[in-house]
Amino acid sequence: MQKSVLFIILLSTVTFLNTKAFAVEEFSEADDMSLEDLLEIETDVKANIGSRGNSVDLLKTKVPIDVVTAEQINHTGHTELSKVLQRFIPGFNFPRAATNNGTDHIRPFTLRGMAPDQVLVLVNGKRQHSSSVLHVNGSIGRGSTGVDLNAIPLHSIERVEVLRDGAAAQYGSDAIAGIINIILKSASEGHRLTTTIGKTYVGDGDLYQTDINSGFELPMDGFVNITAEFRNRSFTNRSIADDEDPYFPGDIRNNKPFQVTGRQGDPDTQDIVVAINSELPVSESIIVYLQGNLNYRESEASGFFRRPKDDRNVRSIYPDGFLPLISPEILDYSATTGLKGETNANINWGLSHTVGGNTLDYYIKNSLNTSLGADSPTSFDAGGLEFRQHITNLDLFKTFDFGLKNPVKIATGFEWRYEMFAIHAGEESSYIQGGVPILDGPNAGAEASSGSQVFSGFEPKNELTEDRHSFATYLDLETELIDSVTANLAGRYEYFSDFGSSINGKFSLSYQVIDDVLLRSSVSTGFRAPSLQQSYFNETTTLVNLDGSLNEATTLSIDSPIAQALGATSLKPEKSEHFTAGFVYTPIKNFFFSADYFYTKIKNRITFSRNISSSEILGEDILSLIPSRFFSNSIDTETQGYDLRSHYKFDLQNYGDLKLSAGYHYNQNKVSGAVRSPDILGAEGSNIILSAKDRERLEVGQPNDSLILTSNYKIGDFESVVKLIKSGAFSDQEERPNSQWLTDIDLSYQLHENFNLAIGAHNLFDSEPERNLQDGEFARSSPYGYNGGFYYLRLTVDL
Amino acid sequence: MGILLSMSVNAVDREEHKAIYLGRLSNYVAWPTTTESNNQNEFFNICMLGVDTFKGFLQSTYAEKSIKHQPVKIHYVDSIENIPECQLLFISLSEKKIITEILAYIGNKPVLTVSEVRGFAENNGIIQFYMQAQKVRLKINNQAALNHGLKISAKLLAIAKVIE
Repeated sequence: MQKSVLFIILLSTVTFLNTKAFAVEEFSEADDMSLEDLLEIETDVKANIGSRGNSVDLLKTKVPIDVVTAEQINHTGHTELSKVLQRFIPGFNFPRAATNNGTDHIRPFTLRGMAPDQVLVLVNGKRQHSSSVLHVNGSIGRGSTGVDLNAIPLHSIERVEVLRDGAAAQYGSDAIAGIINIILKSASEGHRLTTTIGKTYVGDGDLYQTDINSGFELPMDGFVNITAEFRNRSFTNRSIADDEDPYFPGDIRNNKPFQVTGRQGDPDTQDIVVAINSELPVSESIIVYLQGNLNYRESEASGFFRRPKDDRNVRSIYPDGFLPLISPEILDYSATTGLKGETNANINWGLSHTVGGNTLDYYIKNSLNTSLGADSPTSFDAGGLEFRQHITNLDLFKTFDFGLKNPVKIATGFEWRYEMFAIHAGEESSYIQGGVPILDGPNAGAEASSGSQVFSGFEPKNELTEDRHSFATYLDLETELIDSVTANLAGRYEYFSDFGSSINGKFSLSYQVIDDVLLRSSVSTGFRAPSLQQSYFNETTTLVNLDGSLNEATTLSIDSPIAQALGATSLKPEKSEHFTAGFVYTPIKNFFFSADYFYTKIKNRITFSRNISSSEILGEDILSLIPSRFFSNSIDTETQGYDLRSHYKFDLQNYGDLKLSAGYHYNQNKVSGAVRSPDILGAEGSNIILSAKDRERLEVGQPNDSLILTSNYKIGDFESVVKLIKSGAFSDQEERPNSQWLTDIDLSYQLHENFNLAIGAHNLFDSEPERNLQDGEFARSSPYGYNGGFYYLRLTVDL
Repeated sequence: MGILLSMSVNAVDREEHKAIYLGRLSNYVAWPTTTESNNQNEFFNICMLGVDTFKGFLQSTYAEKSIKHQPVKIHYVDSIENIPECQLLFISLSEKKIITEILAYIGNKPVLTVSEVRGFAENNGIIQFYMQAQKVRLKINNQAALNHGLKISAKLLAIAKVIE
């Protein structure tokens, strides 16, 4: 950590000294520039998030904000937004979950080592829905839901704004670790086709992606911007050979060398993704708009291999065992339509309605229902999950002159939200106990496992449709109090039909000490409403133990009689407190260095217990034979750390343009105080409610620091982007893989006015995370995955 | 280090950049001869109507510079009635609701009207700034320019989106 910090500071200092010494009269060059060159000058980046009203200059914001532009996105070579942001935002974590049921297909991301559901995602400022999947297995983010960022086509994005501060007092539930605001392209002209192909150094993970982004002009500077993308990615596999005899003892087939039977890596996916952004002025003061995105994904990932001798195998169907596959079909959609304008009294207003949803239908292949014996089908419709939300927003903004030193910007608004979560049952064979016992082997005659292997279908008893609504109102005031001191005061009241109300506030201040130095700070409270999935999701699944053995577990909804008997109570919102303080140093116009400290305390954080077996509950027998788990508001946590950023841009005159940036993030997460557990769980209760593994995931399961160094060099028709990334150490199953360094490179050449060709590599030097000592596999929570090197070719055509 | 020694710095502030554009654009516009030689005291007059979105940068940029070989004078104007004689009128976003009235007030005088108000060029304004990603783009209503007696060079038209 210390080396990374020192490196950034040293690099910033050296560059600043050079830059300061040789800075020239800023605009003298503009007089000599051709008009064409003038057009190509990139102006400063602004952000819409963090402050109501007009967009804000990034170097003047009262809270830290990062922005990733379309140009930067284009030169990463990545085709998924989560991977792109991981390459730009230190502290953004996107581990590649594997063999984790639904989590493999909608992988969660986190900010600052917190949970996936503690980040608010907006698209053009409108709340994006979460996915229907609750991450219930052993992945980062266990017990949470999250937004599927990869459901938005990359080339529909003009920029991504990442607010690194709690902002629930301004934007509502979830904005605890920060906010990601995705701004869609609004160009009214041009057609661009982009195609990327690539594969891993190993030779798997074939990628084929192509998209087209088109802009069309509407009257009065209206526009329609549409992006359509097709993405196909083959699975990767970094599993190692199974070192246990697969057949019954004495079987001569055990003499064969150990085989790789499992699959650990990326799933096989095909995505069709569409996005639209449009505005049409219908009068001088009213604009009607429509925006949205649609993603249909077919995905396929495996569970754990069932050896031939496994009691859950029917050997007449799979004499050599089987690798069951989970092949969900996922539909994710969001659309917002609205009006915005300005009244004669200079009140800016906006009225909009958003509908968004996510459905995941589980299909199981290459599997069987052991209890149906030799007649078992091998593929199943195992049911599905559905989440839908409707949001209506009314926002008002006006600048008032109260006779103070400066006018006061006042924003207020109302939000109504409806959410629905449903579980749909699968076909009967996917969950039924067929009654056929284990047919052969040492346990012949014993009761066989019910339901489709790897993922037992949702049963009619799991089916549900739960909903809730909420209402919110906010008030946001901002003004320059005295010379160079700007203050923002915000408050928000929110009422949810299932748990009641929450009131939160935020005060932030910036002080331009001198032209070069801005100090900034904020204090706020926030909250996160428990998701419907956390309250009501219920299912039975197969889990793998540390020793490789498998067992079944059931997830209880909060209102189930068993959960109630175990002491479960209705979930309350997580409550948070935030403090941020930092500075921005801009000695010259194209260089800055910023440092920000942050502290977040979360009370009543929701945890997902480990499996509780009936034997652990003294004098009770309420769990029958199946271990069970449930959610509760049981812990408080504290997160603190800091972020460093530095950026500089040089015109090297005849030698081209060079942009250098460095970003560093450090965080510490810890559980504070005692774990609260129901009395019925006894002395072991706290270890049941927050297992050692979950404590590990929460406190040290994600990298506690990350460093990203970027160089972008352009000369003539050639451009190169090189990234050096350090991901800090983390713990996984009581082991602690060391930090990992990766290098990305993207080299592009403008072949012709309309053609650009690029080659590149992610993880150029094929670095690998450390393998677990216990099982020899890669840690599934490795921040950058474990595929190793990946190379690609990208062609961009302007039509 | 050798490369670093030859470095220079480019300004990228968005509003400052637009301010620079005003001077550059003017060099590609021909005013009627009488206007160029007879206006206020041989100055090139830029009028800024409404809230100064350039944050005072017009004044500082052109304090010691010339446009079309004339020293530049900046006039900050808060209402239509107070618009003095000027060659270039920049209409701030704060005036977007009275664009039609402003343009009607200007009539066909030889004034280059510039704004970033949406729909400005389609509403008979002459040059409109708009943003595409982080770059400033131009939309020009050439017929409106001709109606004002202004001739815009083909070089400028070539880099703009032209409304006929």
